[in-house]
This record gives sequence, structure tokens and C-alpha cells, in this order.
Amino acid sequence: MRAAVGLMLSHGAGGMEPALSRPDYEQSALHHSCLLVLLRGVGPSRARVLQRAFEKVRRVNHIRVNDSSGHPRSIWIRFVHDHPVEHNDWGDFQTHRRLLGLVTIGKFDSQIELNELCRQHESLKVRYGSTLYESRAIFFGPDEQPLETIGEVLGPPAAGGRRLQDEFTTPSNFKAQAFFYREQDSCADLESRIGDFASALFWVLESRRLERSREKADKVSLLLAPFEKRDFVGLDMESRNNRKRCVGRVMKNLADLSLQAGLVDDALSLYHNANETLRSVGDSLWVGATEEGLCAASAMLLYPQMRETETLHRNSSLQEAGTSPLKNTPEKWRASDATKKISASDATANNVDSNQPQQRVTSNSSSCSSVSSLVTTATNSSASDTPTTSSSSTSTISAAPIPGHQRNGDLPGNILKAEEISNYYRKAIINYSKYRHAATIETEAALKASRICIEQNRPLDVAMFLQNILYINLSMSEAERVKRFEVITDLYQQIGYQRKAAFFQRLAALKHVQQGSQAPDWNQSYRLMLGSFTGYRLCLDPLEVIENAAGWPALQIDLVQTLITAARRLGHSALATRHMTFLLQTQWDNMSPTEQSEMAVQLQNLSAQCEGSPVPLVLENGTVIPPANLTDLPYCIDLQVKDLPAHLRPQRIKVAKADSGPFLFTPIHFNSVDRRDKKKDKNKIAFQWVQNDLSEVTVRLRNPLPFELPVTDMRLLTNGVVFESLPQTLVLQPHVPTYVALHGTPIETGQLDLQGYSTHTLGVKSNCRLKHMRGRSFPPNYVVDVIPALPRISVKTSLPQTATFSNMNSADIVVTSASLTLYNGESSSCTITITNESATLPLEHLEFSINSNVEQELQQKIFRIDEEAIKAHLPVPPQGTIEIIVDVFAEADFVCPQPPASLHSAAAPGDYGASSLTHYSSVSTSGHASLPSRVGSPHHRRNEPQNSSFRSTISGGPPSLAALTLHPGGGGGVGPSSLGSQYNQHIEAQVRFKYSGGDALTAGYCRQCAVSFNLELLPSVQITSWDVLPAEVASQFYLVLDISNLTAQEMSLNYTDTKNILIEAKESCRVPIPVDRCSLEKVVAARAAEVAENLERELCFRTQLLSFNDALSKLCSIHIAERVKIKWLLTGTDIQGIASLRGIVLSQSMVDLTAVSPLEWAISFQDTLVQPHNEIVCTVGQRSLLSIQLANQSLQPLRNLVLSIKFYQDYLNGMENYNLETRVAISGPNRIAIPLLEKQEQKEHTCSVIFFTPGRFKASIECTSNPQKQSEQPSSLLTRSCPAEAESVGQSVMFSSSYDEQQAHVWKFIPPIEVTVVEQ
Amino acid sequence: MSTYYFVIVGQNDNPIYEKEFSTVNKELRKEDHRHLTQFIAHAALDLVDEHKWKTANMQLKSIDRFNQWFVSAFITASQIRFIIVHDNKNDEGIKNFFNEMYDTYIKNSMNAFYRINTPIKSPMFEKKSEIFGRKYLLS
Repeated sequence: MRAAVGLMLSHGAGGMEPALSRPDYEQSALHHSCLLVLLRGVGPSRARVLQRAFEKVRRVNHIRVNDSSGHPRSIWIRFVHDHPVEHNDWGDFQTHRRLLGLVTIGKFDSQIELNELCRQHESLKVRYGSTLYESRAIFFGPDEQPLETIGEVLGPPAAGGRRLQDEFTTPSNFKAQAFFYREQDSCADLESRIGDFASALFWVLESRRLERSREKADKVSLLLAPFEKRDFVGLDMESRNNRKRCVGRVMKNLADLSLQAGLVDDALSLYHNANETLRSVGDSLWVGATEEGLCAASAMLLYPQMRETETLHRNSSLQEAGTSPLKNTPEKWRASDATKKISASDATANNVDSNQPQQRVTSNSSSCSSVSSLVTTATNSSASDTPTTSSSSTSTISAAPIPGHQRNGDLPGNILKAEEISNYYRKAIINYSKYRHAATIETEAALKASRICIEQNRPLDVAMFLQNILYINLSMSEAERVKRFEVITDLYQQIGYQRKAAFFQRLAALKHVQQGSQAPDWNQSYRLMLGSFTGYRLCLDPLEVIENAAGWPALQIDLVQTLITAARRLGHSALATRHMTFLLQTQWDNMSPTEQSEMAVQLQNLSAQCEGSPVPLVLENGTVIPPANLTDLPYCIDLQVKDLPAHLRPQRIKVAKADSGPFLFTPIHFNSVDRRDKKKDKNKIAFQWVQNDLSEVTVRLRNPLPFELPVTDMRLLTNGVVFESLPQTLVLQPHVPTYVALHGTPIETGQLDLQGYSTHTLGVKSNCRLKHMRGRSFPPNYVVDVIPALPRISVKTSLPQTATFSNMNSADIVVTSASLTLYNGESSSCTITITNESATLPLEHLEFSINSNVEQELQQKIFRIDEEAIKAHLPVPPQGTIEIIVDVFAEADFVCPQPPASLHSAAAPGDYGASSLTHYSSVSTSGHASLPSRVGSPHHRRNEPQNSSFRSTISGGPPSLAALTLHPGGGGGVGPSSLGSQYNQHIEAQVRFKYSGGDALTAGYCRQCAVSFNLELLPSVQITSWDVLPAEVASQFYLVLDISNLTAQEMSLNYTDTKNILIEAKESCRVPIPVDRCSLEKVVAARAAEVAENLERELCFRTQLLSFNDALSKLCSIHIAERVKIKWLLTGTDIQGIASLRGIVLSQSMVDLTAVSPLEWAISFQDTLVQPHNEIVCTVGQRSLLSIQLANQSLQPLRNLVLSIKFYQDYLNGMENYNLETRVAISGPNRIAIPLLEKQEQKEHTCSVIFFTPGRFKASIECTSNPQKQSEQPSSLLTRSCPAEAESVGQSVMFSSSYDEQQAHVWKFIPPIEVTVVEQ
Repeated sequence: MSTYYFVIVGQNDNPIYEKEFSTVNKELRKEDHRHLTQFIAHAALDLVDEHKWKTANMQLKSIDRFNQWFVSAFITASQIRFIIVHDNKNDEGIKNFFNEMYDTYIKNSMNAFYRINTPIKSPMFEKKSEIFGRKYLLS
């Protein structure tokens, strides 16, 4: 047929029609009542121009017509775009398969084109001419003239009244009506014209129905299905069975026509009668047809809403949406309601056969008219001939209805129940299955049954019918098989069987691309497989798939692999890469290591053609493929946000001030605040980053693949403030964790949201976000505060750097170091140069502090910085510099920590005339007695070794001591060797700078860095021992020092303003230094302070005593340190320094000599005042008068004084003889107790001395303050035994603690008086 | 010649145990039918979910068919589904096999270290499955 040349606008089915008939997959039960109209586009296809016309025509699918009796009829029209001619041949079997109308739509621009459109229309008419009732043509002409109203033209040639018709004329052989419109016409009247067309079809159908109903029973011809013709060749058509068969088939045909004409009740009755008649003769095919007809008629009454759904479904199908919407609840509810109505109707229905004719009261006037005609005919026939049984039966049924009992709105009694419809369909299908040629009819019946069951919400029946379709032996092409699968898929989806739908979608997809197929359609295959994702619990968003973690992994993998193959065959590399990435992301855990490796290699090969990127992929049909990311490739083990380096770390200035405040609980509060903050936001980073500063995040990655995995362009993914990430490229070794540092720079201030990182590996760019990483306890993101930009500085020093490791805390903020070596007492300086490295920010705030491993006070002496000079240079402009000078002084302790015992104390025994051995013992005992206030044993133990060592090392000690005493200026001899040497001292210090500027300073932030100082103090001078000796005058004393040179060079020592001495390396010498004695005012002030302190503290007596002693000793120590400055100079170099005597410890005897004595002595010998160093001469046997006067010059009274006079002989070899009983006699007491000596009071004591032998004698006159208990035992003064001394010492120790102001003191007349006795 | 594919499907359509019983050599199986039985079993789950509300019996018998393959099903009280895809009729044997495997599954579920809905990796379960398969399905 030449008509095949025409193209359809909506469907692309072109070419020759298939030789075999194929099922109408879109047919439903309600189509039995529709008039079939072919809607075809002719001429060149221009869908956009003619689509509106198609829609308008298709919209007219239902009209209401009043029949000849005035009763309304509901007429439905079904428009199809393609209709095989073979289906027309089945029009007698089922009348709804007959094509009744034809509508063509075309566009022309010239007369020739118009002629071609008319020719094509005529071809279609000829093709379907056997069944066509009417046809219409709709022509769109060129839009050259202004729009004008176009009326209907009754027929060609045109009357000449319209301009478009005047321009063009239809050919002479064109008989159909034509509607002409301009191209831009709105076609306002097109729908009404199509309505008229449908009405015309109805009238023709009605006439056919009436004609059929008037046929006489004995004259009806046998209706045949197309394949039945040869079955009846040679048979006797006049036999009884064949006659009944003819009548039954005609009745069935009449029922079909009634259904199409809107007479559902009549159709039901006719179907039932035909069913009984045909079943009696065993006509299975037509019995099935009657059963199917009953189902269709019942469905029309029970489920009229299916038409609306059908309309929506058809539109959806036309748009190729892929799947139609599922049934919603209200529709099912309506179905349920209809079921209830059926039950109610059934309760009132009367199924007795005798009453069957009475139920036909719903027939309308037309039916009555027809029945009247039949009755008339029957009467005439009966009058003229003998009626047969069947004819009589027909007449009886026709004459039965009663017009007056019509009940509109109620369902007829012979309607099928809802559950019966499935059974009738099943029986019909069984009957159809007996005939091989009826396979198409069987398939369509199964589909109709499925759709009815969907409406009835019976999925099991739907599944049963659909399953049966697959086993119908139907010869069809591969395209038809695919079409069948798609229809089955759609129906399964409607009942919610997603898995079944997916299964058949996959089968259809595979059919499209079978190996034997000549033209594989990969596009359709891809579309179908993509649509089957839902059934396998997949979706296009990989995150949802991972979140659900449901489905059958092996099937999912297979499906995605097939999808990748289809995408690759389509030539869509980006799509293939996307799906392969999707597969790796979602199914990584479900694949074996071998499969993982293979898929990774495949991805690498696919991405070589087109790289993957994390952006949605939009297909041509509007489908959006979400991005897929290789989140776990490489696998992230750990991710840590790093703080800035310590010297670049921002700190809050206020917090620092608060920390240095006096409140002790501030840090605890600060910590608790931190804890509360951490509990609230676990992903909140405690530290801050700085604007425009390089930041770092450390990621630990693992490569799960067995080969090297190159990762390029790895960056941080951020949100919030602008962040400039630096790319990182690395190669990961298999299965080895690798640390990667990702850097970036925040450009703005505010909150930075770190969400993960991006990678480029295997040719795919991925956004690996923390919240999508499974199996790890990562927070969704990390929030870091970015503060305004802070200035940056670089620090240099004028001293060399050191590489030694610092043990101080906060060593990480050290940016540079300085090392310095000084001798103790030496001074030096260091210049620190600070450069502002910022390009735009000035350095507006700079403060410093010093921390070291020594005490704060000592640190302040060693390091000094001029703060005012620094502040004067602020602010430092960008790229500017500032210099800070640090003065360093090598402060050290020059005094040996072990004080020696007083030599004078050791040489002051109180006994006379003892032997040498006794003298030695007396010396020890005297030591005890002279130190009653030393209650601590450790003091005495330290003194004892000192004495022993002193005597054992110096064999000629006494002469040396005498020389020092008598000739202090002549000291030059080498003293005893050093008792110990001082080791090198190492001091570590940090000069810390806090600096800020710009907006950060306003916000209260600063940075902190430090310069590490390594100060090595070399020993220079060491004072190993010291002593206090009386001087020639009472206002001074001699400080005797043993000074050691601990350096390796010769040292020049200036110990007074005028005296100088050289000390060789590692040697020591003894120097006497005259020092003024401490004044009494200071002593009184110290005592007053001590008393006040004791009263305030209310401490125990022992502590008070010690405290007073310490105070006085400290006073004298400070007094000496202030006045004695020893300057040293290393000969040959310019290294020099000052040795301080700070920290020198004085014993009680030393304190007495250091402080001015409260007693003033006036001694006369033979009425001559004794002057220092005066020579006194007397004769043997002559009585000499010795007079002693004491005056208290202190501000407080002195109590319990004991004045003692002793004569002895000094042999100047270390031995002193106090046993002079046979040589000297003293008349009068030599020990006088003075209970109280008030302020400025004077006491006088006189005695006589007689010398018996000539020689040189010395007199030791001293005054001792003792406890009060001592004065109560005057008789013991003359006792000279050692036990008595010991007992006395014990008592004084016990009682001395009861007096705050009482201390044991010994004041002597200095120097001792020398008497030369001569013969007369 | 007969082939049985036995699978236990969890509540999320995830297979927790798979076993194939066949009288033919594995090498003779066609490569074209890779995963076909699994696809058939997966598609039959819709019918299993429908039938489980229609009957009080755990044995759902033959519920689906595709070409020469039949699908028999068994469902437990905890919605775990036993599926057998087979190519010949053996209703009695399959019924007995399901009952025995159900007992074995219950015992395996009592293991405190086994979590429901996770793959079964017990050697005892594997051994029992092999024994009952040869006894009720392949004989």
C-alpha cells in the first residue's frame, strides 16, 4: 500500500506493516465500548506545528448524543495512531476492533503538497475502506493572509466564499470533508467539528445495530473469525447445531454493537444469552468472546473511573515518561465502594430465571421500539409459517420487557460481581488458548484482566495473568517481545511489584542488545536498565544507596556493569565513567579484592576518554545523574586539623592578662569553660587560624588497591569564608598508611567549615566529605574560627646560634637562639633585631617577658631590657625593623657555701696552766662554750672538720696567722689550697615577645615567639674561706679572704682602691681587707624590726631567736657586701668583672667583730692609760695596779655581764701557756659579775698584779654576757674542772631560750695587753 | 538433570546464605546464565511478600515461574525468606528441605555471636545444608 509512506507524528513506527498481527498492548476492557478512530499525520512531519491540532482532536473522546427517541447516549471514542489491517478482519469477532473513522492532519505550502495530502488520505481510506464509516481531513495552509474566520465547507469544490479555499482546491477524487486552517490559527471550532464527526459515526453505528437487530433468525449468516473460514467448508450450515451457532454468534455481535452504542444493559443480556447458546454447541472461541464481553460490560458499570486513569496513562505514555503513576488510595477506595454497591444490589437481585425478563426494565425507548418491531415481525411470521424453537425463544424474550418499570441509577441484576470478573476472564483465556490463531486475542485478554485486577487491588491475580502472558505461544518479532516486556513491567509497577518490574525491565533491555539482533538499540537498553534501579533497591544518588545498605549486592553489581556497557556503546564516555565511579563508591565493600582491582583499572581506562567530575550529569531526556565520588579511594584513616606553629599561634591578649592576674582560680574557670564548649560542639576546633596565613590539615590515607595509586590535585573542601586550597600530589603505596599535609590560606575572617577534601585519582575528581565516610567516627565537619590577619616578624640576634635542645617549657615558640659564654661577674649585651615581615600590617603592639631556669630575682640581675626604648620605636611599619638591646650580667655566687669556724674562738680557752694535752682538750671544750647560741648540731659538725683540716694542712699556722695579724699589709704568701672548685653553670632563658597589629589587635589577639638564650657562666673568682679579725683601731676590722683564681689565665685582683695582687691560674691567695664596722644605729634598727616582727607573728621562742640571729647576721653580711668590691681582670685580655661578697655567712663571733662593740674600754696599768700597741714594763715583785672601766654605749641595757682577766704567755709557735700560777698572782677577783649595766652607765674594777719571774706576759681582758642563771652561782666562778663547765653549758642552753633580747656575746679588749717584766 | 539454587534472603533483600545443588558438572554451566537464578529469586520476592499475608503456613510452595525455572518459597516468623529456584518439580523434597533448613537456621540464630540479617558463615550450617540438599533435593 502506498499509505505506508506516511509518517506518524507521535510514533516512529514506519516502514512496512508486519505480516503477522500483533497485540494491542494498550487496550483495556473499557475499549470494548469505544469507537475506534485512526488519527494519522500525513505529509512532511512537523510535530510542533501540528501537535496542537492532535491534542485538540484527541481531547474529544466522549460525547453525548440523543437518540431518535430523545434518550441520551454516552459515546466514547478511542484514537489510535496505528492500526494493523489484520485487526479489521477480527471486526466480526469483536466489533471494537473495527476501524470506524479516519482523521488525517497535514500541512501544505503549495497546491502540489495539498494534492499529495489528499492522495495519502484517499490511500488510507482505501486501505481501511471495508470498515470505515466516515473520514475527515484537517489541512493547515500557509499563513500569508491576515487571520480571518473560516467557516465549514460542505464539500469540494469550494463554493468560493473563503480566501484559503479560493487559493487551493482539492483534487476531484477527494470525497472527504476537509477543514482548512491557517498555520497560526487557534482552531477554536476544531473540537466541535470533531464532535460532529463522532456523532456521525454514532448514527452510522446505530443504523447498523438496528439493522442487525431486525435480522430474522432463519436468515442470519454465520459470522467467522479470520482463521475459521476453512473450518466450515463443506459443512451443512442448515443443521440444528450450526443454526444455533449462527444465532448465538449474531447475538454476540449484536451485544458488541449495543455496548458501543451505549446500551450496556442490553449488551449484558445479549451476552448472557449468547453465552448459553454458544456453550450448548461447544463453540469455545465465541464462548470466550461472550465471557470477555460480559467482563467488559460489567467493568464499564463498576469502574467508570478507569477511563480517566486511562486518559492520564495514555498522555504519560505519549510523553514517554517511562512509568505511569501508581494507583492511589482514593481510587482503590472507590473500587471498594463499587464492590459494596454490587453486594447491596446482589442482595436485592432475584436470579430466578422466570423473573429474568422482568429485570430488563432499564431498556430505553429505542430498545422498546426495536423490540416492538421484532414482535411485529414475529407475529407476522407466526401467522404465515410454523415457528422454530429458537425463533420462538427469541420472540418470547423480546416481548417480555415492561416499559413502566425502568429504574435508572441501579445496577442490573445480571451484572458480574467483582470477583466473578477474574473467573470469567480466566475462563475466556482458557477458551482462547485452545486456538493457536487466537494467541493475540488471548494476550490482549490477559492484559485487560490484569488492568481490571489492578483496579480491584488484587495483585496476586495480576501476577497470575501477567505470568500467563509469557507462556502464550505467539510468533512475534524481537521488537514485539521487548514491547511485551515493557508492558508487563508497567503493570507490575502499578501493583507495587518493583522487583518483578525490574526483572522484566532488565530482560527487555537485554533483548534490545542481543547478539543476534541486527540493530542493537543501546539507547533503549540503557533507558530500561536505568529504570530498573528502583526494583533492585538502587537509586541514582550513591549516597542514598550507601545510606540504605539494602538490596542484593551481586545483582546490583551485575546491573551497574551492564549499564556501564550500554553507556560505553552509546559513546557517552562521561556517563560510563560516572556509572563506574558509582559502582566503586557504593559496592566497594561487596566486591572481592580482585574485583576491586579490576574495577579500578576499568575506571582508569574509561576516564582516559572522559574524566569524571563531581557535578550532576544531565542527559538528553532530562534525567539528572547525581555526582559520584570515590570517597573511600584512597581510604582516609584519620583527619586532623593542625594548629598554626607555636610562634605563629594566635593568643588572646586579655586571656594572657587574666592569667597573670592575682586570682588563683582563673585558670580553673577557663578550663571548665573549655570543657563545656567541647561538650556542646565536638567538631568545634579549640584553636584559631589567622587570615592570610598558611594553614594545615593532616590526613592519613591508605591505598586499598594492590598497585600504586597516584592522587593529584588533592585539596581541602571548605565552606564559609573564602579559603584558597593548595593542591597536593602524591603516590600512595599499596596498603601502607601515608600522612599527607594539605595546606591552604583563609582569605576572609569568620567561621571556616572544613568538610573534607577533594581528590583526583583514577581519572575521577571526587569530593570526599567527612559526613559520607562510613565506618569512621568523623564529625560532619570541622569549624575553625579565622581571626583577622596578624603581623609576622622575623627575629635575629647579634650572638651566634646554638643547636642545643632546650629543656624549658614552651620550647616550641622559639624561633631563634643565642649562645653566650661569660665569666662570673662579667657584663655583655645582645642586640635582637625584629623585622616586620608583613606586607601591609604594621606592628603596633610589642611586649616582652623573660623566663629562665633560675630564680626571678637572679634573673632580673642577669637580664635587663630597656622597655621605654622599645615603646618609643612602635609602631613598626611593614618591612621595618626594631632593635632591642639585652644587657647580660653574669651574676653568680662567689662565696663558698661552707663558712669556716672563727679562729679566735678556737684560740680562746678559759683555763690556766694546763699541759699540752689538756690544752688541746680545752680548746675543743672552749669551742663549745663560745658558741652557746648555736643550738643546731649541723653547725658544729661543719666547724669541727674545718678545724681539723686547718690544723692538719698548715704546720706553720701560728706564725702565718701572727704575721697576718701583725702585718696585714705584707700578705703575699700562698694560703691553704682550695677546699673545692666551682663548676660551670648553665643558664637557659627565653626572651618572649607578644606582638600584634591591625584588626587582630582590635579583636584582642596577638602572637608570641621567643628567643632562646643559652648562657654559660664560667667560674672566675672563688672565695673559699673568710674570717673577721680585729684591726688596729676599734672602728675597723680586717676581713681576711682566701681568694682562688678558677680560670686558666693569670688574674689581676684589685681588692682595695690602692692594693693589687696577681693570682696565677688555679691558685689562691689570702688577702686582708680593712672594712669599717657596722654602726650601732643599724644594729638597733635591725633589733627593733625583729621585735616588731616577733610580736606580729607570735611565734615560738626558738624561732624568734633564730630569726633575730639571722637578721643580725644578714645585716652584717649586707654591710660587708656593700663596702667590699673586688675587681678582677684577666691579664692579657680585656675580660674583667666584679666579684661580689653577697651571700657571705658570718658566725656569731664574726658578727661581734663586725658590729661596733657596745662596750667602751678604758684600761690603766700603773696609773697609765693603756694605748694600742703601747709597751708596758714592770719589775719583778712589784705590785702593779690594774684598773678597768666599762661604759655601755648601746641604747639598751646589758645584763648578766662577766668580766674576766687572764694572763698567759704566748710562745709564738702555736702554743699558749695559761698555767701561770707560779709566775703571776692577782690580788682581787679575776671574774667579776655585773648584773646590770644601764645605758651610758660606767663600771670600774681595780685589782693588783704581782709578777714573780721576768718574761713577756699578755693579758686577755674580755667581757661576756651570760644567762641570768650564771650569776646565781658565784661560788662556781673559781671552779676549774671540766665537768663544771659542761654543766654550765647545759644550763645556759636551757635558759637562753627564755630571753628574746639575750644573746651570748664576747667583747674583748683589742689588742691584748703585752707586759714585759724585767729584773730590778 | 536437575539444578537447585537455594538462597536465604534477609529483611533488606540481602542474601545471607547461598548454595547451589546440581547433578551436572559446574564446568558445563552456561556463562550466559550468570546470575540468572539470582535474578529470578530476587523477582520472586514480590510474590513472597504478597503470599505471606494470604496464608498462615510458612510453606508457600511454588509461587513463581520463569521459562523452565520454578520458584518455591518458605518464610519465617522474622520475615527471613527461604527461596529455591529449581528446574523440576519436587514439592515434597523441597518441603522437607525447607523444614530441616529452618531448624538449622533457628539453631544458628541462637548463637549469641550471630546477628540476624547478616551473612551466615557457620561451617556447621554449611555441612547441614549439604547433607539435606543431597538427601531431599538431588536424590
